[in-house]
Amino acid sequence: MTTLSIVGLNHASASVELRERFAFSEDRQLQVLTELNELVDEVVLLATCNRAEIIYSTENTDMHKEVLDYIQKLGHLSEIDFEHHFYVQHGKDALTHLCRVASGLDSMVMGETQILGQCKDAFERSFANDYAGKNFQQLYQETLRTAKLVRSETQLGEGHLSVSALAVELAKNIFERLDDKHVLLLGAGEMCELAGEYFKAVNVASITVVNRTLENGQELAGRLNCNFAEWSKLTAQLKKSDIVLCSTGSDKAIIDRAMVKEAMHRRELPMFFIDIAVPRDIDPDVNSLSDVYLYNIDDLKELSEKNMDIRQERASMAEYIIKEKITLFERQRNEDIGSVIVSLREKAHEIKDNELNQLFKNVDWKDDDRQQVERSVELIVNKILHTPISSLRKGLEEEEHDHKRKNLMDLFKDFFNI
Amino acid sequence: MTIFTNLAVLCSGIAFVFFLFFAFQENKKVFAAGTMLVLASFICLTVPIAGMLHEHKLAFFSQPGSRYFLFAWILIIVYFIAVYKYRVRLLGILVMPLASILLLIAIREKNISVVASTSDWLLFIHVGLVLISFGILCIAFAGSILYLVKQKALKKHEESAISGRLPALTTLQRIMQNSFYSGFPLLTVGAVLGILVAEDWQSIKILFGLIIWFVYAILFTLAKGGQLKKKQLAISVLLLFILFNSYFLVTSPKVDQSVEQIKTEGAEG
Repeated sequence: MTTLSIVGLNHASASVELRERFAFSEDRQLQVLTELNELVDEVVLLATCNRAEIIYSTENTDMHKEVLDYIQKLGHLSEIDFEHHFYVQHGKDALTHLCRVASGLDSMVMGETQILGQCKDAFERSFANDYAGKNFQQLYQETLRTAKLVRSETQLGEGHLSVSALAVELAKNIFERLDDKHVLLLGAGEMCELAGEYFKAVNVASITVVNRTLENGQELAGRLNCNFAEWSKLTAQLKKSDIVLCSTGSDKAIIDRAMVKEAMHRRELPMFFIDIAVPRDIDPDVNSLSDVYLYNIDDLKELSEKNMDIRQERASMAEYIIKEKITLFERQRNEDIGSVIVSLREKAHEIKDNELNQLFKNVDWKDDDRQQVERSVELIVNKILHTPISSLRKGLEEEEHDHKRKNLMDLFKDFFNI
Repeated sequence: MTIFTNLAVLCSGIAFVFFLFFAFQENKKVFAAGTMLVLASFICLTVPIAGMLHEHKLAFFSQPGSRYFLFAWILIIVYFIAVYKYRVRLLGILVMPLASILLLIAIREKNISVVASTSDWLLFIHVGLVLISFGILCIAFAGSILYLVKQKALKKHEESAISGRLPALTTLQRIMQNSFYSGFPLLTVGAVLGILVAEDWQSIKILFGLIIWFVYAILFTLAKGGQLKKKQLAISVLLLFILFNSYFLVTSPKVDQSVEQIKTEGAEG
């Protein structure tokens, strides 16, 4: 396996203050790569808002220390900080980590898809600027293949967990398109703001905030850059809306069955209500109306838990795929060595058999003598082969650079004409 | 020709199995394979239809067995249009069994003796329009079933493996409504032409046909006037679909033959 090493920190190992020290501009990243490339053979810098990782390979094992020192200086870190917040991995562990990162398994929001693009950009930048080459090409391809396989086989990123994201997901389950839908936010709290941001992100036609306290409502409408309507206009607003999200502090239901029934009169499309207030803002009986869909906080929590379970299950499947792919990768490399050794043995035994046939053809041998000669020649051939085969195995075991292993095998094949 | 019709049945049957598998295990390759099989079934069906048309010319449309072939053929075309238009991959699990059953009936009915009396263009248009409207109603039926599944899952807050794979509720609502609305004018024109070419006004076929048209007209008016809720419309489409199937069963040549036989026995007795 390529001598791959990874040194890095992420959202789980370090605080945002520490991660910020490694949030470099594009120019600074290139500068860091240039400096690191003086220490190691090939290097890639993966820097996102949640992680900073230096992926490198070097023949000289003494250089690992140099790289760690460089990173410590780069981030103005104490030795303790470095030990506590950074992870260092080599060989198979590093490759596994890289595959996990590219697949989104190691992301803060597990299964997010952005990281694969960020990995691609990081490697492509190093390839384009000659910070990485032959060694990392195969590794890069293998990582991409694994990450894509994980995504296609597990759908890791599907199923939201937060209440606001779930509300948008459910709205998408009801409405074919959201860009012509009108959202009504009842309340001006944090949850309403968060949900408003989510709905804004999916480009709904309009968002209107209705709140008892005028100032708070207007303030939220200002922050979300959307409309505001007075409390007295609630019934009228209800008729205009397709999606209604409630999160007020009211101790009794604000929207009752009669109000919704009136809003539904001669309406072509369904209405979707999300009630995340406790006590509830919407009379639960509303859900019994035709074409009306009501979800309360418990329903959303249940969905979130279900999604969490599914994600965990998919994560286990993803881990299994990565493990299998790495095992397969290793096996393929071992098969290459095996095929060279088998070819050499076959060639040697073919020569031996030809020579023995010639020998037995000319002289009339007794069976016992013949068998003894055959056994002795067999032993001689095996002993002669033992040394080069052992040396090849040892050489390949010690040499972890793929292109050097290939050179060694090519040399061996040329030498024995196989 | 028989080999083509048998192949068409086989392909549509296997396509259904593929679509069923796709419903539980979302795999685009399985769906693609199922679609290829539907296409193969369509091609296999086109060959005998073209052969029969060449042989019988317009009289083909008055043959009882051939209308099932034609209907299955039209159904597959309507299915492809619907899948392309609405992108609902699960329609296949409901449409393909229908196509397979129609083809099986067609193979069975093919051997029944045919009385091809009328063979003019009016009959051709009548049969074509009625079959197209029924084909469209089959899509409305599939859309209604899927709508009811999705609607129930959303109301009860219980997503199942199938409902989770279904598109948005309003997409299914659109399939159901559009198919239901577009089938009615075609059936109306087809029915009028049917009355014009009819030889026996008092036949059960004409009477039952008119009853179905009348029911369809009432439901159409109610739905257009906003009197039917979406769930009620979905259930209405299912009932209409059952009525249509009953019509095909009642007017089947086998039934005609049995009625004739009973009449003959009665006269002899």
